[in-house]
Amino acid sequence: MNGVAPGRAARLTVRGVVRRFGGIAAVDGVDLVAPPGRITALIGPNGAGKSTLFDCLSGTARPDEGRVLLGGRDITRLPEHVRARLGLARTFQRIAVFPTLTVAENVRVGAERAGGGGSRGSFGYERDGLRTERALALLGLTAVAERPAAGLPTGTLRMLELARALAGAPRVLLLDEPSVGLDAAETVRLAAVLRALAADGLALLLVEHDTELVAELADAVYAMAAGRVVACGPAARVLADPRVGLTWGVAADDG
Amino acid sequence: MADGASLSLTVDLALAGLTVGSAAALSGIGLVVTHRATGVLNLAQGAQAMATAYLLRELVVVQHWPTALAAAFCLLVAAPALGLLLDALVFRPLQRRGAGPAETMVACLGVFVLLIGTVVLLWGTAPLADAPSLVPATPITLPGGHLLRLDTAVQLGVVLGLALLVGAVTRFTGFGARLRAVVDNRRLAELAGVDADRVSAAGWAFGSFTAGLVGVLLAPFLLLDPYGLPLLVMETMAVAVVARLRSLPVAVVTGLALGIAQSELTRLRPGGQLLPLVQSVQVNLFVVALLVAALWGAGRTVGDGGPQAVPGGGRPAASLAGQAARAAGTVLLLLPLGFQGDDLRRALLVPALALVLLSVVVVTGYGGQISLGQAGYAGLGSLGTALLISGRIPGIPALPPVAALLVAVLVTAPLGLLTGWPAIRRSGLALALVTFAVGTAMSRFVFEQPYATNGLTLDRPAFLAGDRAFYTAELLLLGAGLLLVRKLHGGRLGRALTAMRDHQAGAAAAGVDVPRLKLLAFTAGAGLAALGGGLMGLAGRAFDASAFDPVQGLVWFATVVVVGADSAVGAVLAAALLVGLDAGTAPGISAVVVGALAMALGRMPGGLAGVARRAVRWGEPRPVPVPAERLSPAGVRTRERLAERLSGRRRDGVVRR
Amino acid sequence: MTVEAELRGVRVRYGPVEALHGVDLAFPAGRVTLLLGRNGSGRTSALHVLAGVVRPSAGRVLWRGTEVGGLDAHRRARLGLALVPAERAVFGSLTVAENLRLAVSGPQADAVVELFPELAALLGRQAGTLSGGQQQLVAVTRALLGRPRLLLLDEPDRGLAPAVAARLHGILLDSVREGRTVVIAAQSLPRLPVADCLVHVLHRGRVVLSGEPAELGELSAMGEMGEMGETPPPIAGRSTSGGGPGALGGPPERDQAEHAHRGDHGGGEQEGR
Repeated sequence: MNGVAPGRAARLTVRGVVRRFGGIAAVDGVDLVAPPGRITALIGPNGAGKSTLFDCLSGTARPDEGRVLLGGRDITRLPEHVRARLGLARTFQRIAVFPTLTVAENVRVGAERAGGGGSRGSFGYERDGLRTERALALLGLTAVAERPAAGLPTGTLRMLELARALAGAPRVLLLDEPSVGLDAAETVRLAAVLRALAADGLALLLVEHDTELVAELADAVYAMAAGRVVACGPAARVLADPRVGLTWGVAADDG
Repeated sequence: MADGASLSLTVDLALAGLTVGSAAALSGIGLVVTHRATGVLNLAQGAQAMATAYLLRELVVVQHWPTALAAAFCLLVAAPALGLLLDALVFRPLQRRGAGPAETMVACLGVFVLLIGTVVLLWGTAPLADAPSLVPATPITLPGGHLLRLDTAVQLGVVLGLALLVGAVTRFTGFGARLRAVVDNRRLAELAGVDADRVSAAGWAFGSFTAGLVGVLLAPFLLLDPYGLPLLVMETMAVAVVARLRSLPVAVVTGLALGIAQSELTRLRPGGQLLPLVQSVQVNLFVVALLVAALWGAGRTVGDGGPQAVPGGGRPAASLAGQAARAAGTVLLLLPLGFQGDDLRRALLVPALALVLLSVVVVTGYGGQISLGQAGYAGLGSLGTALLISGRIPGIPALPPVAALLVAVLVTAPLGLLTGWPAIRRSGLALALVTFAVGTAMSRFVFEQPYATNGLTLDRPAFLAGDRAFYTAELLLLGAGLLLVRKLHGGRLGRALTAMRDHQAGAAAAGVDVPRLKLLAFTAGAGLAALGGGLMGLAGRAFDASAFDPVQGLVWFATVVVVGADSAVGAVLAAALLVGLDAGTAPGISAVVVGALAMALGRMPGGLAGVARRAVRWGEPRPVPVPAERLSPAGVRTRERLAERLSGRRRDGVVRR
Repeated sequence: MTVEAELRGVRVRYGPVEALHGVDLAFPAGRVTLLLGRNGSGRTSALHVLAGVVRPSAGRVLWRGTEVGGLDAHRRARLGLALVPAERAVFGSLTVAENLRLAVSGPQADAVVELFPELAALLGRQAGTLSGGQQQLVAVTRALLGRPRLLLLDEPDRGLAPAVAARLHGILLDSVREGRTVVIAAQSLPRLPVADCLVHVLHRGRVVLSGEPAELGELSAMGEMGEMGETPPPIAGRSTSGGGPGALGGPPERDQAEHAHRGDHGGGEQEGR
């Protein structure tokens, strides 16, 4: 694990983020902190604003108000690739891999775009190769390294996506429903990997529908409804919070 | 009095403009209806129009059929049948496979190129002036003494009638309700038992019918040739784009308005330098409209959903197929060194064309960005070289040919931003429209101007005057181009480009600077195309605007995609085959081959190169199979108990509250 | 017991994501089958594969004993299969009457009014302007009017007022009595007053349980659900059970107990697979 997430821990801080679509605030003043070494989860029913908030964090959307800080640096207005180079990695609900590249090349794209400037030259070349190999080994992909990514099973692709994110030596990892498409055994494995990453000092923020996985993994949970955080705190407490259950029920009635 | 005369002129010009306007409106109706019923923007409409017009002329002028019978056959039988055939053979298989707009667009271009090739093969490229008109041009006198031609009146009537008919059928019939259901939500319509394929088939038949109608109505006004008419009809896509591919009334009004505006613009006659510009805007108003419509607003109306990039065939491994292709390419390129006279002169085109095709490989194959405008950059390279050699650029002395070519390439490369910039926020069909519009605008506003057609010299330097020497120089430049392309495809940059092509959002999330990479691809593409174009000019010792016709750009694009968009060697082979096929057999054959293959692309992902790669991989070890389903121990137990229960003692389960 | 429809070893894949990892599901004729599982469990994919909306990447789809995997959705619809999807279940740009007329030709106003009188006043409205519950009613009615022999409903209770949901359940049971087969997919057990129904529970794209409703309770009491890493779908306390995962409805103590339990057995599960 050493070297994949070197000791430059950083927290992701969200302050008063608002994102509107035609006058309606999909995210309505959210504050959130994802500290290093912890797994933070974001839950809520469909339409609660989780995805929109996630987009604001990863850079695919710009918030109308509020700030997003990565280790104290304001990244609110930075484009996605710059955030990635600063150490903010993400995965996609519909797994994003490059099907015509091999597994190793996929990971290498992540390694080569890692921040720190000196990626060029033979030193950078060697370092990128090393990072690629480490990430492949960490996620058990060494055996399939030379296979094209197209056509691999979902579980392997999920690990590949994670490996690419880790190869970039991120400080914060955003995960958009990482358990989608995984069966129970694969989910167990995913959970183990995520826990190990957090233990290594990475800050993890996951959006997840699966409350069971959230309960098992998350150190802190933020529950959203109608664009706002309605409860936050330790997983057990938030999941048991009657207000959370209530808002979910109301949202379901709204249809 | 003067006001009266002015008003009268305005009315007369408006009436004259109705001819073009109603044809454009008709084309718009066809595009909108086809798109609504099938989800496809029929880029091949212009070629369908042209083919129908040629068929009508053949039947009337050559076979001496009565005009009415021939027209009825062409419009009511041949054109709809073509539409149904295209649906069944090309578009339905794509729809079934869930192909994205990019693939469908390539298939449309395939149809386009195939039809053009077929017409060239059957009737040649010489323009024909004797296209029969269905309605005589008898002038009708309107109140106020204005004259309206009968054919224009009929055309206008057809447009309005057709629009009303389509509206009525959609609103009031069962078929219309099914059509609207399919437009609303295709999947749900199928679940409701609606045969969406039949609705699509009807859409294609109708679209093909209107295309044919546009063709036979427009043909008498122009010289019938395989390139002009399709291009003209493609320009009227502006009408459908303004209508957001949805609204019939908007399409009709836009078409008529543009026609009238074009006619009224003839009154503007500013003096001096501005005159040629105003005249070109007037003549090419539809191109301007297409450019504007494509740049503003087309992003959201067209090309959403589905994979947007042209599917690549995978990165070529150092495989047997690759080696064989490289060997074949080398032999084909060296062969002409032994040629003489005309053969050698024709072969001069091959390396030049290969460079232009390589530009498509870079932009579309590697970068995944659709660019239909590469012919424009090639033309800029050619024209720039000619202007520089002739010393026609103010402030710059006449340059020697080699320096002129170099400067032309260096100046054209950054112009790649003209299409690269729009590509940052666009993809798929929207990008295709923009790049096509830019290419067409270059052709119309830059190449087909008096300064470009008169008195340009494009002489080779003395040491390259001989064809063999020039061909050798071309090979060296092609080699340099291939090295550049290889640099772009290999290593860090190549991986980043492939990542961007495969999954743009994923690439950005992995830290790839996607906008910069797009600009880089378009810049490199423009430079390569300019080099190829410049060499084409030097090879023929003249700047030929028609060599860089936008339709030519479509043929080149289709060729590269057919061969395998991300295969550089394939592009070289394709150049040799394009030139060789037409020179060795009959003109048009290459287009027929390319078109047919492009239509079949849905069945061979990755083009010919992809097919070759898969054929070679056949012998390699198969991938490890995905592990089979396993039931958890509790699941197994449950299943056993369930089987027990179902086989014997049934008892009523009680549902708990 | 005759089987109306069956999935055998079916896998469904959407691009990189596999939603069903090879499932065997049987739907007995003339009965209600409940397909339970929370979001992402694959229940919607199972319905879609049965209706022909998606093609399985592996496995067989049998309907009345014949392989129908290659049959288009509209053909299956015409042969008597109806699916009411959970989302976008009506044609928003068509009027309610047009929506209903797509199912069957001829005037059906009487039948509609008989089923759901509240729709009578809405016939001329554009379906897209209706509330979520009203749209759901239109979608269900359209499916029922076609008198299908196999009716698939994805979260039919969603957005319906309890009274309307109860009426819908009554109508569904009536149609089962007429010999139809009904499959209902839901997050948790709907409050369906039916004795004789089969329950399949899906979890992460696999079948973890097939049995009768009462067995859900039995199994969890035996602790087997915990071992499977599955929270038993709670019996819905309210009719409007859609939306959130069922686990939230349960008492918090149980949630925590579950986790503790699973922590012990986490490794065991992996071995078992």
